Amino acid sequence: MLSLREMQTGFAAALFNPGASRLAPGIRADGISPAVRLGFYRTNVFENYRKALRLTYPAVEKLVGGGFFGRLAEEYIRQYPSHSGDVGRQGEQFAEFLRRHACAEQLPYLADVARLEWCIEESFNEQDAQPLPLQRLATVPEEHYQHLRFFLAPSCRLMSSDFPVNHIWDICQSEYAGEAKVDVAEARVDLSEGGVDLLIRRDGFSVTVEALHPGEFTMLVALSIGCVFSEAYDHAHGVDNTFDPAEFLQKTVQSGVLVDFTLAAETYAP
Amino acid sequence: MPVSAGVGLRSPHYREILETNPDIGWLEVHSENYFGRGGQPLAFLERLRARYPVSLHGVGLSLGSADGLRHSHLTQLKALADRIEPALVSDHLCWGAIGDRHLNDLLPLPYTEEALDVVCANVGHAQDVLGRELVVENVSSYLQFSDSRIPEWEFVAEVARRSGCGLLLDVNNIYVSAVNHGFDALRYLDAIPAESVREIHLAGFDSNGQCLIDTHGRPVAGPVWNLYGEALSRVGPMPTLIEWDTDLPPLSVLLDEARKAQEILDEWIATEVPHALAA
Repeated sequence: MLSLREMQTGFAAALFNPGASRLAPGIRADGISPAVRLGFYRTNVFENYRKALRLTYPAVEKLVGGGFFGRLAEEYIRQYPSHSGDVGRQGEQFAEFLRRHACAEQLPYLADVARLEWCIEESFNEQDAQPLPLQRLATVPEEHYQHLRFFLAPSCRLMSSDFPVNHIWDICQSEYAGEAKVDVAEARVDLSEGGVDLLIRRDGFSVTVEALHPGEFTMLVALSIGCVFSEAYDHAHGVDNTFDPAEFLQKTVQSGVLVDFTLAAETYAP
Repeated sequence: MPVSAGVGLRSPHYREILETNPDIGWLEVHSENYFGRGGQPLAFLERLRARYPVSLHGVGLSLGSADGLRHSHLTQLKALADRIEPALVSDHLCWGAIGDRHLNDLLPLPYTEEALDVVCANVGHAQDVLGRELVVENVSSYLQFSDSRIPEWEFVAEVARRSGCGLLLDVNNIYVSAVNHGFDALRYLDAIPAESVREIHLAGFDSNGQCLIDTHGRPVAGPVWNLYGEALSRVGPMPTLIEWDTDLPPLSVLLDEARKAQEILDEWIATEVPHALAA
């Protein structure tokens, strides 16, 4: 008699290897072969994952069409095991999978569309945050502004792409729902228009995707990794010497991108 | 939980329920769909929770895993339960994870002494962390293990006795497995300790030509309604859920199914009152 652990390990291996049903021993036939019985579960498991991937990656599906998406999903499910009891997390590595996939040669932007959709998925479910009251900022003496350490709203995600991935994503939204498959060339997205720096965040319940200027984007990346305001400004100024930090601060605080700050303790003795 | 009919809440119905306040006893959600830290799903659930009792029904705890429960899953469930204050917290008598791999499905267990020990230890662990009773549901199955030594109904009853958990009696699952494995569904019901039952599930199944499959994509079948009556005659009137997951119909269809369950419940409640008076 197998231990429960042996049975479960064998069963899991057999589910993902159709040729290896013998890995799941101890299944009674009762008129239907054990391999066929195991197949009933395989069908359910793959269907669960495919559905979850379709929910998270509708733009990728529109770009490649339903049939090819189904085949991509199947390959992905075999290669990237789920590590969470929440099936919605299973698609976390899909962009990485697409980046390495042979289809990347023809559709080089596909992995970045997936990366954008994963950012949207995460942002949608992230923690809520209250806006930063401007009065609080007003209590800090101006000479200390350089030492401020700002925090982005939890729902913010920052991503760069070598492709106009926001435009590609736009043409896949519901207005275009009549199309079984969206053709990037037909939709007049010019891939040579170059890359974008994107801020993905939640405004109320909806997720927004916004292309940022390089200075603004660099500033947010620097703040998000813990740079104080002056350090972040140096980075931003390095990529855009017209970058205006005061305008940046007003915009990002008012729109709820920056939601909190602290003063680096060692530099500020009131 | 009110002894009435409830429906499974799915996201396409959020707004309609909030806008129309339908007359339903309670709502049940899949816990894992609310494991995010904020945003619309939790906000809507909190609004609905303010109007209806809510039951948190999990699909990912994997109570039958030989290597124990996943700590992060349990803590996420605990955080959700603290936030929503549900009337019940339930999951399934099955396994879905081993090692670092999750299969995200409700997989059958061999009904052995070892599996019984594993399930009871895991249920005990979950109840300790949650600080409340866990309610455990019988699943549908499409295969049986040659190592199984205990009939499923005895296994279910024993889990409740040993671990002190509650039971969620899924009448559709009993029917589906009874057809698939050729056992007597009434014998199953007879073995269930009535005092442990907290809730009943009703749903629709499909057939793949060889087996009945628990798809939750159709109205409750006639024989399942009959079995529901048999279940009520043994365990008394119980909170009863209409579950629907695939090919989700308009809310009105779910509410019609719930009304049907409510009518059957009302008959049992009416017959129970004289009993209570007599006692």
